[in-house]
Amino acid sequence: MKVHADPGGSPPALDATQSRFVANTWASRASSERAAALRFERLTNTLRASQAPQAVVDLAQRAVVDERRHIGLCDGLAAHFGWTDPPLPPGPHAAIGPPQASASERLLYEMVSSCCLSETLNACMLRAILDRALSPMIRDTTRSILGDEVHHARLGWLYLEHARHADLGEYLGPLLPRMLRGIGVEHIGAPDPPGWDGPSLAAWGEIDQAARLAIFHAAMRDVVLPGLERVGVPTAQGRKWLASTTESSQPMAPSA
Amino acid sequence: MEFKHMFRALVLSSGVSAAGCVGKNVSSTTGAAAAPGVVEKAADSLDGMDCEEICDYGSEAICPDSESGSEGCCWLMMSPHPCCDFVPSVEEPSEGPR
Repeated sequence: MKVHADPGGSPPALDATQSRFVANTWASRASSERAAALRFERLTNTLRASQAPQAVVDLAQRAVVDERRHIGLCDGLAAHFGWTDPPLPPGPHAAIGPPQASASERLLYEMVSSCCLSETLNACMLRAILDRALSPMIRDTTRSILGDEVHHARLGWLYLEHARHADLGEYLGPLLPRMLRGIGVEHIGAPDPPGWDGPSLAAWGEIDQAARLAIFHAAMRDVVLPGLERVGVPTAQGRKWLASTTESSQPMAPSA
Repeated sequence: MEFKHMFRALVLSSGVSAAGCVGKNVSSTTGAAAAPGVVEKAADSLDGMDCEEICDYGSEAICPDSESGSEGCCWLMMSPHPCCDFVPSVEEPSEGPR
């Protein structure tokens, strides 16, 4: 049975199995957006309390509103493709950072991990979806979310620059492998499920394992590592960890 | 796969909090880097094009977008305009009139 032909677009019709893959993607994305909304809500308060620059606080506050909007967009797409279960709960959103670090160091760690790494990777993933999706519905939603995620990544880069001017952040270099492992490598390296029809699903914005790995490496190589180096954060250990992983279909093994 | 345009959009533009990119009018974009006299041409042209006339290199790199038919941010384009690769050099602002 073919379902979910997208009026006005030219992607191939999806059968029930392929449609479920798309529904799962957007339901999972909604879960991530729920977590992001809660994280940015907490970070906004922490940034304000730590007297971060107003531009940073404003961007964080905006991010809360954006992420709440994204939840609705993602839930809507999941339902369109057949998701009938209750929405998935928020993913992990508790504060992160080395337990022994000071409050300001932990805040910087979380801003870099969540914004400079995760949101930057998100933006690159969404950009890659735009490159392959044919479905107007998927493209419109992706473009809308991408326009916001760009600002969430910028929030991190802006805060990092501010921190570096205050001579904070040197300690981040040795922690980069840990940070890189913490931004969802399990999902990025997860094998494609049985029944996965890559070409059809690509037209609906789905990214297979090989492409996810390539996007991850390209995002780190072209954006994240140069961005960290630009403000003098040492990246040798992060580069070494990335080199120890592969862009091929092998899942990324967490190295020590 | 490359994301070099994203470096500019995400990292170098991190001080920018402007709204979306799609269909933005070139003249509506402002920012510190676009202040008159601040941006100096690194080269006169790219493949014979005067990129600084065609695009805006202020807060975002904004060039004509063949897909939408209007101007847009380079990082959002399916086929980036050739001038998206043009990087104008930026000088520190002068101290102003004395």
